Amino acid sequence: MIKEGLLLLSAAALPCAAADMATLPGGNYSPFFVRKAAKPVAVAPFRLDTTPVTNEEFLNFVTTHPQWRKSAVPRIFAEPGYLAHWRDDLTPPGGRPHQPVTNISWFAAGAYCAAQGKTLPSTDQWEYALTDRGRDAGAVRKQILAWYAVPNGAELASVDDARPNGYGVAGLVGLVWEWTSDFSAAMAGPELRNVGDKNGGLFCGGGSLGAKDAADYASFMRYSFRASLKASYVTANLGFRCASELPR
Amino acid sequence: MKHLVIFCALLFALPALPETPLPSDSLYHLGGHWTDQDGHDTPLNTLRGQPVVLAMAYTRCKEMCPLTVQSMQRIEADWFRRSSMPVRFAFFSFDWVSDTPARLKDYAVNHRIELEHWGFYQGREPAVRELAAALGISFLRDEAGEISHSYAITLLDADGVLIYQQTGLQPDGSDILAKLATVSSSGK
Repeated sequence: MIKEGLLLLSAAALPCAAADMATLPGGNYSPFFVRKAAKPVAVAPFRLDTTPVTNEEFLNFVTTHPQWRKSAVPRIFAEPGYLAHWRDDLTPPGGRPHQPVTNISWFAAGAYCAAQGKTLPSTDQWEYALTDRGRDAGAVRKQILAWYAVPNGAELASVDDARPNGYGVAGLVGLVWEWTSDFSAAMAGPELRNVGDKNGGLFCGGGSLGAKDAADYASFMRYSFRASLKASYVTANLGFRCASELPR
Repeated sequence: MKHLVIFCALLFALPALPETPLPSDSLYHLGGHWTDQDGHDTPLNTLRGQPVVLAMAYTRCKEMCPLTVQSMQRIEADWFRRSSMPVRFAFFSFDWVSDTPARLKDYAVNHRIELEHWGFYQGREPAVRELAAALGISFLRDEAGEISHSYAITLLDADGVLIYQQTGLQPDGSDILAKLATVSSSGK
């Protein structure tokens, strides 16, 4: 008990390392796969964390929000692998404070963002940030495919090493997959009724018929992955970052 | 005999004791705010205490939702024909913009729904998203406010643990009824 009190004190004594956020101007973008006839979607201006949330940042959160520690979290919010790579409730893996935190469920990610007065980004916001007005599109796609080819279990890089894109947002690809507030929405899109058959077409060839660009395999992978998730799932390569409205 | 009397007295005293903790996988850990058709603030865990048959739907919905409600009404009728064990029926709206409590009440009245057994609930976007996520229901609200969603009728036990989910259309609700019989007889 005393030990825990000390930990709380020491955490409170740390400078409040609020994540840096980039401000993204509003604009239109054409989402891959989800919307009918590839109609551009308007995205309002918003702010997005420049990097994914790290082990260190998540430690600060569970220190002050004990209900989200791995020994305390109700099963409805996170499956048993929640924070599996942490040694115990308050001990992330040693020497890797700036790695993206993973083994995080959608509920835990959302609770973290809410505690910062933020939310998870919508899929539209996240994808809009990635499109980066088309800057370096070829290089980004190459980076994505190279990353997808990296076997699971490889050591995660530090968020400090990720290069910011034109919006100043770093590490959208190449580090971890990221939760979005409406991750499962792709499953509910009306156009899915026209894609493939009900039983098997969704994630195989049938699905790609709905794609804006059939060659855009990388985006297809991303949407399929999100659609395969459930909110209590955790995996070793799935993390998150937060977004917020522009201050008025 | 004396012991039995004391035992029975203790039994009656039980409700005054602090509630047992919720099971770890109970839906009632969700903290979202909901308002019922009469405008009363209704935390999700106020449904605790009896099995609940619930669905997410919305009043503007012309296709799946009316069938869902009909199916639940059929389950209700069949259940109370054979049993007096309490069961709650709950309609949680996807539509955080249009489904006001008054509108939900109108919907209930127009569909001749027994509000003695039912509740209609609306919440803000985060509550709706969290409930859908916990139930594994996907939905998409597009720019025009049209909502596409997956379909399920869910059965919770008295502590809010998901017992069964019927994801295909089954107008007579016989699967839910069969599960309901096992839940209510297990003493929960």
